[in-house]
Amino acid sequence: MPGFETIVRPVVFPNIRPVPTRSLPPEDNPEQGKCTIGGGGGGIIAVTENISVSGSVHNPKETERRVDQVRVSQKNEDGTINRESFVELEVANRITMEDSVAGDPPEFESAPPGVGDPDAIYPKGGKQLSKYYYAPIKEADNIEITKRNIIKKEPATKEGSGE
Amino acid sequence: MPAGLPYFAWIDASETTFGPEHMRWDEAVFEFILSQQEGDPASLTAKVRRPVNEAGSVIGLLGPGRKIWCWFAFDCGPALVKFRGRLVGIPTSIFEELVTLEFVARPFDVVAQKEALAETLRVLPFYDPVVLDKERRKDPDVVLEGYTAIWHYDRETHILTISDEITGEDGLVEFDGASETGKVLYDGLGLTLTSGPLSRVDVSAEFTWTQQAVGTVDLTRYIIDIARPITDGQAGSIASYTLTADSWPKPKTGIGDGWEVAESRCYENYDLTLRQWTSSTTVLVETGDGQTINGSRTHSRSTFAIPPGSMTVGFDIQSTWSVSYNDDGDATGYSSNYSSTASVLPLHHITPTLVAGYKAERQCTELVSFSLIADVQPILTDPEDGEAMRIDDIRSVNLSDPEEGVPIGDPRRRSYIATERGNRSLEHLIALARAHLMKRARVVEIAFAPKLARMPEITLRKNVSLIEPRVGEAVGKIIGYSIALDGSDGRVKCEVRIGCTIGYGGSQVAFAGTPTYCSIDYVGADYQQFNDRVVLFDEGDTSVGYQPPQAAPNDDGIDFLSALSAEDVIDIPLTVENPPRDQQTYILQATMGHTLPRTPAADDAELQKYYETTSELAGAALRQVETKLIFKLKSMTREFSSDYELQVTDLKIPTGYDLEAA
Repeated sequence: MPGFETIVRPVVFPNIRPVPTRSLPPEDNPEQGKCTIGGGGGGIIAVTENISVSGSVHNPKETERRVDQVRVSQKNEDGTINRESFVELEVANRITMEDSVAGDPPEFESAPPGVGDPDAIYPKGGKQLSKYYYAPIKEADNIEITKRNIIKKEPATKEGSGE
Repeated sequence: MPAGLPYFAWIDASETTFGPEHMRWDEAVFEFILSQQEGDPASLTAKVRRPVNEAGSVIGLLGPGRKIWCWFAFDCGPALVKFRGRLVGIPTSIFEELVTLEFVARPFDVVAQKEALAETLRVLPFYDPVVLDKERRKDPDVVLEGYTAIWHYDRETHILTISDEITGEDGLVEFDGASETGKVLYDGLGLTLTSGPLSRVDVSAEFTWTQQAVGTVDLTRYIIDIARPITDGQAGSIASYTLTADSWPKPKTGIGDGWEVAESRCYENYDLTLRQWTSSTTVLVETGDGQTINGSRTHSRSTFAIPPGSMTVGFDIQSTWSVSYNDDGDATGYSSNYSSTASVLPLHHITPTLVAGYKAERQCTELVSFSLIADVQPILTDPEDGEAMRIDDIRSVNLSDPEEGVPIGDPRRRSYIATERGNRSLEHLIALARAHLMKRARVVEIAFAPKLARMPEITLRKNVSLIEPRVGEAVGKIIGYSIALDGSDGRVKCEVRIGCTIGYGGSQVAFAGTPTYCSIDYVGADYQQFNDRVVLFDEGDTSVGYQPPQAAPNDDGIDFLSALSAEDVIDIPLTVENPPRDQQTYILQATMGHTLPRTPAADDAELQKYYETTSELAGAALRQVETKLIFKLKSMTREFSSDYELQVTDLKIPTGYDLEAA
């Protein structure tokens, strides 16, 4: 009589094993996974040097003079004066000279206190004007001052006028 | 009561214990066959008079309210053969005076019993969940795969047990051939050879896991030790015209399979920031006559801390001068200008650090194979040439899967089968092969007819020792029995069938082996590996032993269980492409033919052009020879497979029947 249930030695149990994992791996690729540390950094750096040398020679330029016009008569040996024989001269008592100032021009037009010629002025534009005073001529028996403080300007400037 | 009298009592399902009250005749049994085959519940086929009620009308056996359970007993003289079963199927010949009823001693809670019993049997090495699909582990029948056992249904209690197919648990029933009850009847004796024995089982199994590890390895010293002398770097530094601190790999940058930068720093030893420097001098001389002489000199330079080894690839000098005169021909002014531009290619001296971080996910497989040879007597051919079975579909789950409980223990391991748990898995493989060989070694099947008085002793959980002149001596497991009453002549026929193994007997002996590291007394028996060690596959069994394999993984040698150094993880050693010396040579070669015309002498424009193109040439050449540090770290995603040939002893099989003697 056949059994009421089929119980056999589990020689073959289908599908009792776990699902197979991945197939066996391929051989390692030696080129795969390489680490390369490099970089195109680093370039040329320009190192510069510059040397500038300059020099200039400056001669002052007269721009204005103030003169006294005098007539000098002939003085004879005996001390007499011959008024008919004379020469007329201009005797400067003040000369204004213009000079360049190195560096930046000052911001003021009059000389700073205690510096330079008190009459010097510093016009904007980098030009320095210096005034030089001379002892005025004195009248004598054969010297006659005919006109005082005549202002004469350098032709490029205005014609001066006497004071 | 006289021997040969059957009792039949309809009972409730709750009447599980046989008592005197069941020795009655609810049905008149004219004929029956009580039998049980190995693995099956006992069954009873009884031919009884067709049941009628008091009025003499036929009643339905399967009618509502009818009892379907019965106690059947057959008086064998000294004791009763008892059977408790339930009616199954539809009675046959129900229109005859005699109807045939079929009962089966199958417990109604067989599924629950089987599951409960299977739960107790899920022990290593006979049951190894790691080689079973998770869903199939719930199948109670699968649990017997590694056992030489089969389900046994008690025909009275309906308690489900398992019974070994070679050695019964409930003892030995002896038929000595000499005593009155020890003799078997002359008729009914038979010996058959069921098949040739299985001489060998070839097993191959696949254990897989994902080797997992996370950590860091400091590569700084390794890189500098190799790259510094090649690049003529300063102490602890690397030199290059192109490899700058900025180009050093930053954290999180991938540097290989499963590798990325964990920590990195890099700085330039020299400050390459270009800085400006200027000095001016003025002189004013007043001559006293109103004349002034002004002099000025300005010197400016841009430079940086030029590292040693830097190259000047271009140099441009320009010098001009002039003198002015007034109308009188006097010199009123003088000016000169000198400028030079040097194109410097700095040699970068960088001091780097690099700590590499890894996250290993490596698929590892151990392929284990062995052949277990049964030490059996030959029947038709030499066992060596005999039938062999191949079991090659065994594969494990992922042994590092947390859902599986991480059978490998530590997922960083390189080998599973060399672990304690892995040895249990190997023993399970041996148990599988052993079960097949043992079962198939039960080649001789002997049927005999004992006297009725001995039948109450017979169960499928016992062995029989049979001595019979025609058979000789045989010991075998009872694989079937039957008691039958022939209603036509009133004769009782008893039959017992036993299955006898045809091994040579004997047992395997364990060897401690030779420790490979130190004495056993010093560290204990489980600390180290052994050579020539033989371990019995199960404590209670001496049939087969094996030599636990030593771990010999066919991998890249990384042992994540120990601290890793750079040398441990380097696959392809570091090489330096285009060190500074090569770069210099290349640049010089690239610019070698690039010269100024000497006749006629180059003018300023040509000179300027010359220097510009020199720089361009040098830059282009540099891009062709970038310094590169190239190395390869061992892959953290690679897969490995290791083959193991497991050494096992022969399988000793009991001598249930000596064919050579027969």
